[in-house]
Amino acid sequence: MEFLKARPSRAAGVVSMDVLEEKVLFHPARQEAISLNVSSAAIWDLCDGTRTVAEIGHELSEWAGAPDSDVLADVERIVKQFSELSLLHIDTANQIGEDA
Amino acid sequence: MRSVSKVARGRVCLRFLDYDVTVVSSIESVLQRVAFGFRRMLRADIPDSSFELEIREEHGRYELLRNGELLASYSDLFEAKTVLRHEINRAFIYAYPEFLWMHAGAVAGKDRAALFVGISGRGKSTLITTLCQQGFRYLSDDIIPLDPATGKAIPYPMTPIVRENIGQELPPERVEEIPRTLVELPESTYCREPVSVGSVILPAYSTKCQARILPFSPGTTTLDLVKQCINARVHGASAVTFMAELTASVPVLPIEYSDAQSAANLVSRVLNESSPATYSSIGPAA
Repeated sequence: MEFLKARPSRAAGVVSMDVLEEKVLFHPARQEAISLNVSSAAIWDLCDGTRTVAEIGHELSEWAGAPDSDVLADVERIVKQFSELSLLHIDTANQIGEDA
Repeated sequence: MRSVSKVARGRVCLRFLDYDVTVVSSIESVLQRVAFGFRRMLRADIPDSSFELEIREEHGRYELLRNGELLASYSDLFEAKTVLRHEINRAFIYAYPEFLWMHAGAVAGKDRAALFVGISGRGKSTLITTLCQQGFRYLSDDIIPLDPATGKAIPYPMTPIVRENIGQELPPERVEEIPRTLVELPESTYCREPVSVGSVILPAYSTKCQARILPFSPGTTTLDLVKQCINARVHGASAVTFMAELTASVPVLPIEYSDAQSAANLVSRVLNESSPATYSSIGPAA
């Protein structure tokens, strides 16, 4: 549940490029490029540090017309993958501040 | 191997744009191989000073030297010649780091180039030489520099090498086993001026069909292009940006084929059509 309250934000320096309906990210420090399909690209766009993971899931479920629970699992998984690739920061300070 | 008159005094000189690479060897077959493999890049004269590569025989082994410095030693002359070919290309790549050097081939149509991107053994050279027999002009079959400032492909006219059609798919690690032949194209086939890139073809040999165009993912295609960019690390984010823009701005055709003629006909038809809506056309199944 804690993870759902986190506010993921894009790591500094990561370059994001639109390629038709998809996206490619480039991490200069790691010299890695990653391609995102339409769904992952939509999640990436919402990871701006202002929304919690739960809010991102809710927003996308409304957009897709699917139940929150279905979408949320995908959002959690993809945000974790972004984080593991150092593409995102998970803003726990913001989360703690909100909880306090 | 045919004789080439520009082999003289144990050395040949190759030129790409304004840069020269001289190859020195007392072994005639080494020079003949270089002279034929880079036939359209041969200089008529030998400059006094230029970047120099040498293969010499020492105690039954073949030593490869760069500007007099020993790089490696081989027991097999064929292997030494193969590495020499790579070193020649590497010299030109280092001479022009501002270009994005692609592991790709290219042909030119009326005013646009089609880029054939893929690792060795995917059928680039076969398709390219077949298209050249249909009127397209030859830019390269294996390595092509792109100028990011203009978006143009610059001719890098190595003599094309095609693999025999053995009628079966081999895993990448076995592709080198397939016999290869240098192909001589007429001089008029060679395109000598830079040409804007107008399409990207991603060929793959497959016994599943004669020729068909597959769907593609723009993001994955961008990554494939970056992977095939030999000096992508030098350019970093700008290489990725260039490939993303290229993918988004020109038709991309992943093509699977077993018959080069059918594939060339399909590519030719698509390149001569202007509407991207036609790209879903599917060739006959085998």
